[in-house]
Amino acid sequence: MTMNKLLQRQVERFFGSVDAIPKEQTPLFDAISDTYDGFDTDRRPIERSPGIHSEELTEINQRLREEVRERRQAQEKQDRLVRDLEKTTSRLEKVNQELNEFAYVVSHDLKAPLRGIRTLADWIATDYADRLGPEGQEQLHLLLQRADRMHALIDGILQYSKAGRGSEDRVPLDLQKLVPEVVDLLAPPSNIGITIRDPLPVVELERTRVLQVFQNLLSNAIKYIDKPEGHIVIGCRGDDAWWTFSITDNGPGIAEKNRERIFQLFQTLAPHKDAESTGIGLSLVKKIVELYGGEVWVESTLGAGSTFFFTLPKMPSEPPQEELQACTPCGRQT
Amino acid sequence: MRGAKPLLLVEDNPDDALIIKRALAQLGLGEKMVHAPSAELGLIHLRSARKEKPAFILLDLNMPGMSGIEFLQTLKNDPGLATIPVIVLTTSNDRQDILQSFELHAAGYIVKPFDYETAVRALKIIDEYWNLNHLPAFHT
Repeated sequence: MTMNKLLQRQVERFFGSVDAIPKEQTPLFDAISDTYDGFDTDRRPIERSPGIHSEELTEINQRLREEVRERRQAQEKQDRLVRDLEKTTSRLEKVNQELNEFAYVVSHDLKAPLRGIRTLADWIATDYADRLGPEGQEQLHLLLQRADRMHALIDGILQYSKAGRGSEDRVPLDLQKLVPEVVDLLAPPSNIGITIRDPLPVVELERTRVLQVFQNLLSNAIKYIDKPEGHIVIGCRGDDAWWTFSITDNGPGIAEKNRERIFQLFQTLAPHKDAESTGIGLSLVKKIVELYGGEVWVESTLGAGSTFFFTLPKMPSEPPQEELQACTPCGRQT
Repeated sequence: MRGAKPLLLVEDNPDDALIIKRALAQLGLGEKMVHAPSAELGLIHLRSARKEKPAFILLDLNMPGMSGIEFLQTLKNDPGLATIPVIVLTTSNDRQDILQSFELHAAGYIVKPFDYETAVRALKIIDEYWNLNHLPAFHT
């Protein structure tokens, strides 16, 4: 075997030549040479490694720099998109606001000439009653009815546009008190019983809006009862963040094909001669509930009745245990 | 008491003015009404020395030019006119309008009724109410 170069130099220094090593010591020197070789083999990669690393590092660095650049670009793009989205949102909000204002102003301005028309027709009917004859009287009577209906429609648009207009005043509302007040106000006929099945919670929303939701759903339930005995049941269930209210009636029910349509503006299933059925009520309910991020839907069996459901957000500060207790049905009736 | 004092109607809408005129005539109060078709003309009438001060004023809010609210502001800042009761008679049931009117010491706020009969009833009640009341204008 060839002796390690470094060891060979040492040997030559001490013995003059490699061959001068005493024969019995050869295995020892072989072993030493092996050790030297081993040391060299180990050392070589160690010496080389900084070189390799710096090459690789440069590459990694470059890759990282590239990635940082790409990420920054992506971030910039995202920022730009967010800005665009914000701009679009604020523009949409503005357009929405303008539409609301428009509906409000227009319906307001339409009322004045309509009042003029109605009043003049009324005066003609009064002042020239003898000259009109029964047919003319009847026609003027119809004209007055149409004016009343148009007035009801304009009022509905006013209400509808008002619901999404202006700043709102969120106050805690005890529905346990408020809902019976609404029922009193609606003064249901004696053959219709209204029951509050579950304890109702306190919500923190705008009073008028919440009133309008219950008022419209309850007055619809009352108005369309077609049985000799009417039963309307108000229920409430809660989950993590939402209350689900239900108003169940034993009215005529709503055909499947109409269950979407009834929530649209001016869509009513009542005959048109009924001046009070403007088709605003349910669309107003939908608008208000959706304004608070909630949902409204109906389940119905034709001939047996309907249940209108809607969700409203819980008060943010309410502790969860209290919520669980609050929605346990207790079967209390009013 | 209102007595024989006139009342002033500040109203730009001719239809509404017609309704109030007829209703007052029906109530037997027709001759006692002065109609100003704008807030500006209303003020000129009130400030004219030769004209009798009205017992009270019926005021519309939405008018071109000077608005009803501005009219009310001007009136309440004028010591000679500030004591005349003003009843707002308007189409607006806006909360802001109601609030502002009462902040400016309006004596009443009535949303114009849609049908004539209700309008007559409302004016009858206004007249009766201000006949029961002692008014500053009666003593000046």
